Amino acid sequence: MNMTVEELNGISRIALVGKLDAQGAEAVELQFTAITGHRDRVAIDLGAVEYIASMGIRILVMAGKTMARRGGKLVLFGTSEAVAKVLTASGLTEIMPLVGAWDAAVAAIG
Amino acid sequence: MTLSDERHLDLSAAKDCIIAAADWAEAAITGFGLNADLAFAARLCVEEAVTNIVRYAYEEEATARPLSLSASVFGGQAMIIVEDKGRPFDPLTAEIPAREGHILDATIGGRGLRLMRAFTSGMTYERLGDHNRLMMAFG
Repeated sequence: MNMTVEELNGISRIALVGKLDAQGAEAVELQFTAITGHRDRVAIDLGAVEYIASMGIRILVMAGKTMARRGGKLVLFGTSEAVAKVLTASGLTEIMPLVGAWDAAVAAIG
Repeated sequence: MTLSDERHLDLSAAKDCIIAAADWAEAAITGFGLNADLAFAARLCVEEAVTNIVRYAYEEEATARPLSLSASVFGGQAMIIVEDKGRPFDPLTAEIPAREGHILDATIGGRGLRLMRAFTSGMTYERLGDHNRLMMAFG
């Protein structure tokens, strides 16, 4: 699991690549938490995440919660159908926006 | 059923076995000739079941932490059995925190159980002596 960060129009676009599973979450957690801990507008590109499990969802929830406490916004976008199915079944999409593409993520963050 | 339709893996329930178990499950289902959706579901459910065992089944200081996995196929359906000798835990009846409604109320736990219930086509649990035995069906 790798992550890259880009600043685009005041939004931090974090792209994750690989499997966001127990191992992947551990690999990116420190960097991911450090970035989401200091940004108010974050869009997470899951387009290159081929698989996700609860340990990966856990770092998304923790980041979303930390940001929401400060009034920040975190949006997920670009998932494959398989990953979207996991996020929905886990209940994550009830508490965190998941949209289709970058433009929709920008609109959702506002 | 021929011998090639059954696979078995013995592990010790430590953190580094989670991915080994998930890789094994995905390869087993793929090896049975079942489709990618079932291989994905099996990988996910085995990762969740094994994560729970690694994190909660055994006392931290326990040195013997047996965990075994078996996979078999019959027709288009695969069955994966996960066994451990940790404290009794039934993923079918374990309580899951209520759905939150708002990110500020989000709980961290319980999502793995939701995923196991959603991505298996059937699940049964038995406590047999000192064993937990979880059977998960796919397809």
